[in-house]
Amino acid sequence: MPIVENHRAKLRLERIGMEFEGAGARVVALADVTMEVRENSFVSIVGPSGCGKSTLFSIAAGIIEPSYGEVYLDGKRVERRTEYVSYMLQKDLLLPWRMILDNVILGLEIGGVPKREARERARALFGRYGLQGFENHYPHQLSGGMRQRAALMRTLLLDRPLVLLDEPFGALDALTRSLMQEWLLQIWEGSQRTVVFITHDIEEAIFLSDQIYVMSARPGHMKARVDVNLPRPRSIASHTDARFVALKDHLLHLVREESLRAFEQQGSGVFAGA
Amino acid sequence: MATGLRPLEVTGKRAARSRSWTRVPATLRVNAWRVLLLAVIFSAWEAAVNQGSISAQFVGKPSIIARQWVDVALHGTLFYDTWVTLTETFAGFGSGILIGAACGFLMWWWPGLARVLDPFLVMLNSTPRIALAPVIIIVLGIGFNSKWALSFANVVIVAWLTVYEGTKVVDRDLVTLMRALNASRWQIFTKIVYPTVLPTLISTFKICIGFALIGAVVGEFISAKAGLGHFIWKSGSIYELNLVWAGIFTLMIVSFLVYLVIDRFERALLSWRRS
Repeated sequence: MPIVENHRAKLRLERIGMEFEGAGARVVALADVTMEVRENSFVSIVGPSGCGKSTLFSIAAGIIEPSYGEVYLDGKRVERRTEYVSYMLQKDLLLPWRMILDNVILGLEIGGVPKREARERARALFGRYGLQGFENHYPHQLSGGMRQRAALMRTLLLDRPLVLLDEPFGALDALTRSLMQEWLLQIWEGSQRTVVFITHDIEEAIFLSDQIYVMSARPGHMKARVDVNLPRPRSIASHTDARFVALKDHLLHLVREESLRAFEQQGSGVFAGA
Repeated sequence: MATGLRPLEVTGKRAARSRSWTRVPATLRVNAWRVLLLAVIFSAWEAAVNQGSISAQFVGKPSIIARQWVDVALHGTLFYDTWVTLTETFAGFGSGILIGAACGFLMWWWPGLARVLDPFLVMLNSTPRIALAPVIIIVLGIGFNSKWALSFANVVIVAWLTVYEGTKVVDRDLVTLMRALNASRWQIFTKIVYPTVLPTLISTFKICIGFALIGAVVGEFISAKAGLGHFIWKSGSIYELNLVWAGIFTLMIVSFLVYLVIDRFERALLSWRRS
């Protein structure tokens, strides 16, 4: 099955490999990872834990250099350049000593935008992010879902061509999570950005994505690409669509195989580490 | 509370008593107990001396202490000595915090420096800095500078280690995020490292001010011309126990007031922590 099609992509990772030297042994985290993301599409990566998804993210973001392989943006090779990506992790990483308004402008501030102008640009968005009236609150005064929305606002305020989201809703409860998914789709459909989304949750991946890449157990590589042919805009009803259910079944099998392999790799370590 | 719920009524005589007592504000009640506690201790002490079971000459007597305390305050050097000790303490505290914090941050900036200095820091930290007193006094003399230096030596290592340890627990993901945002090392320092470490540093201020006071007073004990330590030591050497107590009580009050000031300062600086 051809994993990469032959047209120009927003982001293309070509035969990315990553090896670490650790405790005398060489660990191969990623081996020949190839994937591409079309402009303005929403692409998810699912895979067993420890398969190197987050490492792949850091490489795509230009934070770390791969052992081999290349990253292309708009068909051009990029080398250790991070201005094209905005990034969000499972932890909201809001600065506890800053009020929400000053938290969301962090990226703009670093980019040299004057504080006053950055604040003005951010203020206009608080309503859409469901944070109206919380501009001058500290992060600890907000719920988990609100903090993630603030973190997402910080990410999207940057206006970078590519948005990387690494399990942004991983720490939320199931109800908040499903609300956040719907809300994220609304924001994304209104903004037209290219998004790469990492998750463990297959339903989340189907609900949000145009395409889903399934990663293998370590050493991580792309095992399959699945197109999600559900119509947009999607809603809670999409979850019971026959196509949704069929996709879920297909993906569950793919991911389960890899999870079992990852589990066997860890072997007795699972219990020794517990 | 405007709810219909009320605590169970206590009946009878006990109820009347507890109701009138609880109507007094809590802080006032606590303060009343404190005054009572002091009154009991000092009257027992006074009574024990009057009755002859302890000696006024070798232990002191509260009424004489009070009289002599007022006397040295009004006609003696007590206020001047207090002022001297306070300036030494704050000079040592301020310079120790600033230099120590700067060194701690420099070790974050240059991890190589940290690797080289690590064993020396551990050694300095586990050695009582008071052991340096003879050297410091010989080099810097018996005046202000040697007390400042001792006070500084007590504080600087604590601040240094606190800040350095603080920089080690800065959230790695936060630093990764900053790098993804293309932040410079200086931006990572000013926006992440410094604000992360600051509360930890500030929370050691109360310990550090105590250490600074110890440095100053011990220095004055060993060799000085003024200061509360000098006052206590001098009074002790001529068996004026009542004056020794006056000096000790002054020192206690001073250190308590200093603690309160630092505590206020800390709360003001860390206001974002509370809701």
